[in-house]
Amino acid sequence: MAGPHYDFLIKLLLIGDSGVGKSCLLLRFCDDSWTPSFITTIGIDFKIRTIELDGKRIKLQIWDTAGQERFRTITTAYYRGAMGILIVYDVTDEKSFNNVRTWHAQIEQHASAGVNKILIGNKCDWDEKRAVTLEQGRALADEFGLRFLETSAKANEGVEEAFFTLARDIKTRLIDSQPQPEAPVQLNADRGVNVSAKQNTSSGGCC
Amino acid sequence: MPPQGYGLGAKGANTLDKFISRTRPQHLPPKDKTEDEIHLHEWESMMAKSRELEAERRKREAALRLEKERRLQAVTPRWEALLGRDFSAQKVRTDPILRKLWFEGCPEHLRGKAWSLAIGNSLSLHKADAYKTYSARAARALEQGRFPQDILEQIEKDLDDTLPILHIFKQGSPIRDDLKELLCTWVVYRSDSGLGYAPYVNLLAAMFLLVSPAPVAFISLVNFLARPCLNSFTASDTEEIDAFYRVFENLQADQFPKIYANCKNLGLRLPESYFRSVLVEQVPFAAACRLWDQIVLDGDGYIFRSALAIFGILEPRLYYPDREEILSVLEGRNAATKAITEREIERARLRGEEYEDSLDGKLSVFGLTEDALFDWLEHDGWRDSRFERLVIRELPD
Repeated sequence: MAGPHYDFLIKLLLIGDSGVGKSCLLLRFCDDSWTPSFITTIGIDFKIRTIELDGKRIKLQIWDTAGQERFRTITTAYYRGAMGILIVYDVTDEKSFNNVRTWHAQIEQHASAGVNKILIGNKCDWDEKRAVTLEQGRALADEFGLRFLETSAKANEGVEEAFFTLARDIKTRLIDSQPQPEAPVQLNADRGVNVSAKQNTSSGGCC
Repeated sequence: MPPQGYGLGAKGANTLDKFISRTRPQHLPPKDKTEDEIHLHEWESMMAKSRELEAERRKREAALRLEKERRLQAVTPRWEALLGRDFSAQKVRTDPILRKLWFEGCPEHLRGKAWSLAIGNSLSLHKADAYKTYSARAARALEQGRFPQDILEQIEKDLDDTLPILHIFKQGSPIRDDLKELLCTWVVYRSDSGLGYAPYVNLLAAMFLLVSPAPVAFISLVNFLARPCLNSFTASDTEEIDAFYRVFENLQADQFPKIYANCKNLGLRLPESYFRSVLVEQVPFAAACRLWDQIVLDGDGYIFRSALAIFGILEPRLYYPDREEILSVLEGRNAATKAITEREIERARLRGEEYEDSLDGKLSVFGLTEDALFDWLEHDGWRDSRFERLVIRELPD
């Protein structure tokens, strides 16, 4: 494997109902491509894209989860160490929008406190089938205190912005705010970047 | 209605098809046309009925799952309180109310904490530094090519076989890298006592890594493997392993005398993987998690107890006086059962449904489900004292 060409590693998680387009968003963002075929993600998929923010190279490791999880125990493993979460719904599918509440509750339970989140209404190009308005999306995001964007993986709208916004928020929270003397932390090349050491992780907190 | 689908219908067929029967093998005289039609109709309705039942079964299972999730949600505050500052495994073992709570399964997000507390740290490894120290040594050894090549190859092979049903340890997955690091770290830790890698440790390490971050998983793994029975197996101490087998066979003879006699006659014993994988290989993943809730709390005895429960569920298949047949059942590779599984996968594929090509627990094909297992364990009449007496008798020191 080639040497690390990045300054920071950020782990992101895509969650949301099955069929809302999580994998398509990932494919658009990481490979700039789109496929209309519906292939359900089984278990989990990962992609990497390195972006540049304020002169720093940031490697985004993005985890794409299956919408319907058979094995609840592994959710813990998905959420562990996630620094940012994209909650995705489909603007043409009201049920997926209503389920955002369930997903949000799951985040509360599994993710570390203070994790950065963004609500994404995908498929916004599909006007004739729209079932959730922009205002409804925004209102829900406000209720939970989330950032909000509508995207279209197909038309390549808002996708870059969504990931960049989240990455920037995380950078501000975890990297820019590190007290300098105490933390030249393993923010460097290490794979097991320990940027989240400052948070109270729910599982590691014992003893 | 003309029969449709699966190429069995006579619709749109050529002239020959009007005369040959599809409902009887070719070497037998054909049925007459009316009878043929009737049977085709019957076949159609049977298939429809079976699809209906299958759909109903799925609906029922989904409802049960939901119900279980709700129940876990409801008991979460009790678990949180239980795993608080003054946690005592002994108290949970002896208090019937707490025991019942524990038996019903731990909420997923608390499982890592529950396991780590129940296992404890009798080896007094340093909580913050142990993993850092050993994993740094492992990394150095790997970098300088000092890490034993054969072990490394074995680890890579084992990673491919680690809980494929979860699709989480597949090539390219970051969690796979974490598991590899954990296993290499464990090998380095063991090398200080002159010991090497051990089969199935990948499964145990994976279980801990799924519920806890690597440093906690490492401490749990090492302490878990220090328990007498697992320690004998991972150290391949044949004398002790034989002694544990004698304990098991005593228990087996008590509860299933005929199966015990059959196994004895055939010169068979329980496959070592039952112990070495702590049943992760045998039972469906969700059942394994819940089983481990009990095993981490109760210790070695619960592995024996669970293995006996598995015998209880497999019982009707274990009387046949043929070594290979029984072994193929115990190892979950029975040819007839496999054929059925493959047929079902093929059917799902033809129907365009989602299907899973890896098995969720080698013995699940025999009806070894979480519910069946825990129903059995709830009423199995197990006595700790009997197990302890046997262990003292067979392993005096």
